[in-house]
Amino acid sequence: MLFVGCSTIIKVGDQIERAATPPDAVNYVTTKPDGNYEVQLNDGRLAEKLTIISLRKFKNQGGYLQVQCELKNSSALRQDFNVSFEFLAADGRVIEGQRNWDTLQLEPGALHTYTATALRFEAVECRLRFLAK
Amino acid sequence: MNRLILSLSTALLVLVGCGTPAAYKDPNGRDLVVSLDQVNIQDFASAGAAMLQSMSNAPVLNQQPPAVLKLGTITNDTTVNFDTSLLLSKLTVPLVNSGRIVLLESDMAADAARQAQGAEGQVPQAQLVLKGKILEDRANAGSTRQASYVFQLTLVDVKRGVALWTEEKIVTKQGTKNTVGF
Repeated sequence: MLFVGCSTIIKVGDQIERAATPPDAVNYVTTKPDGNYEVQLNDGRLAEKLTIISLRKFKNQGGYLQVQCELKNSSALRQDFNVSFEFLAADGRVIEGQRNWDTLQLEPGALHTYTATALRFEAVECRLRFLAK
Repeated sequence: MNRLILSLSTALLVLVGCGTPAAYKDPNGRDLVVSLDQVNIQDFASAGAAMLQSMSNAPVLNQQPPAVLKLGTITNDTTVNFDTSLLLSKLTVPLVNSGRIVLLESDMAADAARQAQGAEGQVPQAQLVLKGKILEDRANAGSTRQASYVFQLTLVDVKRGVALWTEEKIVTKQGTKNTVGF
């Protein structure tokens, strides 16, 4: 035990903590060809804090796809949300996206409009990714 | 005897120390080192992504054929030494690869190629220049330290000398010590 050192203790502690709390699951909101959107919440904790009010998609002046997602912190505490996005072609391929997470800090009840613009003409749908802090 | 063993064990445990073995991490992940005294790789990614989103909506980047861009000077006005291409590549790589801009190379090989073409060659001229500045602001309250890095970029029309797009992104970090993750 002594020679094993602290790393094992930390690893065991981490495993216990992970077992006691739900995992950080990524959540998705995806636009659909008919103009609607599909919400896929895999993390129950986020469902209690984040409300997707709307997800609009349109073409900007250059003809590139742009989406605007209106979010609300529906909890009673200030929350940090992490957002990222991917753009999809008509055949479902992911053609571009932002891999790093944007951190949004929202006060209770605060609304925020998150905007993402595609760089390629082929982008026709957008998949927003959300992660709780 | 037991007390001696316990003391020795405790001393050994202290000597062994708490360490975490090195491991590969996703550079876009959430468990990267967050430093209060320097710009981290994720700060460049965050600022670059925000700048890219803003810049891609500029009318000049929505035209065909794509504009020819030349990279100007990015002044590092912080106390930390880093290569500003860490920020610029976050913009130029996706813009060039998606065909939204043509990037004018200014290295020796490109200059030599232009010279070889001579006056009659189809030498592209820069229509736009991207320039900017990175600033730093620090504040303390007791043991809590705060560091803000301000990223400013401007897209200048070479012919008219006017700014066609400009943006500022501030990354602020606060805490008492460096940590892992956000």
